[in-house]
Amino acid sequence: MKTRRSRLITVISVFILTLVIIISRLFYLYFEDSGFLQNKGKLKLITSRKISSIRGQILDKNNNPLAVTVMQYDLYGLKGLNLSHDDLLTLNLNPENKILNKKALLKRDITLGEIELVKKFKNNLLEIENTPKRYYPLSEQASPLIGFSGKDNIGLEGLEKIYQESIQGEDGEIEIHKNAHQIAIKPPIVKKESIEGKDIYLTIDRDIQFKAYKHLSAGVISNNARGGSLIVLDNLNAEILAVASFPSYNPNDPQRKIQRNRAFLDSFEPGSLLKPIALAIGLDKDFIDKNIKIQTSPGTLTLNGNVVHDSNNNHGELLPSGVIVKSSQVGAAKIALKIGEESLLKGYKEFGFTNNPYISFPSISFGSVISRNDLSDHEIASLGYGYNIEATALQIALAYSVIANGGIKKEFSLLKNENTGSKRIISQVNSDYVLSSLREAVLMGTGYRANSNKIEIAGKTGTAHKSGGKGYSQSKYTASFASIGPLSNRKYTVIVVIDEPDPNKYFGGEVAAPIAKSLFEDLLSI
Amino acid sequence: MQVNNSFFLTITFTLILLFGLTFVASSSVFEGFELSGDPFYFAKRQFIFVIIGIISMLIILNIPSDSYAKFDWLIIIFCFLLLLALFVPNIGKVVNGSLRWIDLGLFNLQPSELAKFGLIIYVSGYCVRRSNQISTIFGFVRPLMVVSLFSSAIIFQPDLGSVVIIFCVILSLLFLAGISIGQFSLLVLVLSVLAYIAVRHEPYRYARLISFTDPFAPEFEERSGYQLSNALIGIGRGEFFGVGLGNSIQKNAYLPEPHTDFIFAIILEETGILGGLALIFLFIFLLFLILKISNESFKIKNSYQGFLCFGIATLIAIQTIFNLGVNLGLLPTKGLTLPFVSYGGASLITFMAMIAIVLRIDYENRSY
Repeated sequence: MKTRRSRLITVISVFILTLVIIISRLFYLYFEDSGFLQNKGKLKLITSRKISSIRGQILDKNNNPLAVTVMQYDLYGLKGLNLSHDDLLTLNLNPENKILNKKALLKRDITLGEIELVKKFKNNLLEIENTPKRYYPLSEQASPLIGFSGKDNIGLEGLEKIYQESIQGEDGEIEIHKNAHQIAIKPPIVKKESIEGKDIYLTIDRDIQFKAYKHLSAGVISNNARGGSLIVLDNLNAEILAVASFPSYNPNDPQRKIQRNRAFLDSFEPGSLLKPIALAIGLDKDFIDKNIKIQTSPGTLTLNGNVVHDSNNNHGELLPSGVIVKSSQVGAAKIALKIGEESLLKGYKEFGFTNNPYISFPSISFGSVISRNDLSDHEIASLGYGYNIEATALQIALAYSVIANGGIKKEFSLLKNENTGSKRIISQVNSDYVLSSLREAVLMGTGYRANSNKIEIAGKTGTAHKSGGKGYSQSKYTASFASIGPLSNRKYTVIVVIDEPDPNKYFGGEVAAPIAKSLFEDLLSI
Repeated sequence: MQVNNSFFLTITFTLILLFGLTFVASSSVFEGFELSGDPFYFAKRQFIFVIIGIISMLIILNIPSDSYAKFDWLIIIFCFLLLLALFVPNIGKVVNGSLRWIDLGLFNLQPSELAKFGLIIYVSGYCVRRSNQISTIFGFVRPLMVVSLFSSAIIFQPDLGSVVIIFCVILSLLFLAGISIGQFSLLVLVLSVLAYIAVRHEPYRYARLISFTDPFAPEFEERSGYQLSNALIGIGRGEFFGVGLGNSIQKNAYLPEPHTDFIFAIILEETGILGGLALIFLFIFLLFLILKISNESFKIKNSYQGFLCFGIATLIAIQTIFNLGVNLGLLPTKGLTLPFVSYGGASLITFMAMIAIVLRIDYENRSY
């Protein structure tokens, strides 16, 4: 009897002990493990899904799209999906495995019809994900400028790259609660709303861009050239209307082969294109008098043992405008020598050469100039006719726009409605004098092939030997033409640069001027 | 109404039963829907089992308790035949690789649930009949032979969990009846060795045994530790007050058997530690009352009734402790139900029948 009592107490004690252990365990799980356990639970339960932000559009000045985002629908299969199922055979998939052991992309870019079909299957292991896809309506006409963006909404080239931050927006996030059979057990929870990217409005005019590319590409091909660039500026509104570069590429093709934006990236020796700028500087700083003729006879000038010559022509005494019309090397050399190194370089700088053009573009070139303290007379002279200095087509076009705007240098922009400043750098009188010389150069000088009976154009040809290796190449040229028109309102500046045209026909007047002319005539219809 | 043991026992038992019914309904909605399209499939069936249980209780309340001692040989043979019937083709039903159920149409009968009860009746009687010999070797080997016979039938189902429970209950009974400490210790040792062999013999048992210590280890989490890790996640999510009745996430196919073996995890998820403790204290009070009735029987020299109540108390206690231990990751995963709470006809009705016997004994004590 007594044993039984003590044994009963023993049994009850064992029970109580185990209960204490169980209750302690309960509290241990609560205090020590619940964070870990809840986290484990979340990992199983909650799937986070990115909501892609919609990348901002890039639009031209009339709000026509240059880069837009469209939706692409991709079909995914989840873990455990049996691909040999009859339903799936109708989709023409090419499965490697019969049963998926992880989530896999089954078909990219499915059609709306296929989306309907998939919805009818009501298969929980099939998922349609929409991903934004970038489309460029102008294709190769503008691709070196606009660039393109790759997967994951990242701009890889051109304006897509430089404006990435404002254009990309911010991705959002949703949470989907699923049970162990991967079926959603409640509506998705938005953790973070996606923020749409900002649209970029450019000063580019789609129609002018189209014409610019058309004439440039035709010109490059017909001249057997390596490439070329063409810029159209709106002098009145300080806007860049077109930036064409050839060769180009189709940004919509995933296998695209990138081509650089030559108009912004390639700097070259401008040659004679710089003579009117040197003249403008000389006139404005009173080194040159409009009425005092410059002796270019006998058509050669020997400086530091180097001969400067006017293509075997003796132009005799030339008025300063005549130097531009005839494109006299000797005349330009003498103008440069009169101005002197310091004033000339300072003047070029004011026109924007070797300066940041303040256009946002990846690795845009600033150009360069020979810079030593003890330049020889020959080197100073060469600056007058555009050697020993390098500039981009953009910089040259901007310099010519100063002449178009009567001596006022405006800050040009690629972005619509951007506040821009302006500053007079030479007098109206001197500027107009240079402009009339440019008009004469078209009417009776080297630029005669740009003379149109439909539109009054003023312009200057440029033909420069390309430097390469040692010294200058005798068969590789840069042919160019910088022009302003129509003279009535001086609205457009057009620059055409052709890289390495056929060595049998390489003069700027022969190669570049006709391209500018046909473009100007085309612009009349705008 | 008289406020006595039976009154409190009935109240406590009813509360546990309602608690169980509620959580069978809540935890099985997903499984029920998957199985039959009716989220209350299991709840409805469990309700029918409760009705059958109540009818059985009403019958048992009218049977004098000493009649079990008289017919214990009949009961034990019936239970053993049921166990053997499992191995007859077309009678036994295999679920999850175990041959544990006899399909009776309305529900599946689990003979091992009945066998536990049958053995308690038999050993209680033996303890009284042979109270003088119980401390001799022969005296305690004889009941053990019967128990071993049953155990071998059960272990081949296979159902190691039930065997462990049976031995724990029978050992407790023999311990109370007065076997010597030396014999008791030796027996515990032998059984431990046998259990070790049983575990090592079956790779899945061994995997469960070692995986319960760290169910989240990468090699266990999606395999042998899957049930336990999901049970623990539910418990962790429940915190102190629970996520609210019906809001369990783990019952959505994450946790297998949410309405049977792992119902306690769902209770903790939905009602938190608070709900879990409430249930545990209901069980403690229930066991206290049964042991009190057992003690009162001993006092009036109704030793058989004393042993019977004690056996019932230990069975409820041990099975509850095992189930809670499994749910909380203190013991390796075993297919054991939580008495009165888990879904399952045989288990529920058997336990209800035991409560009826205890109520009958209390009634007899009072009319002594």
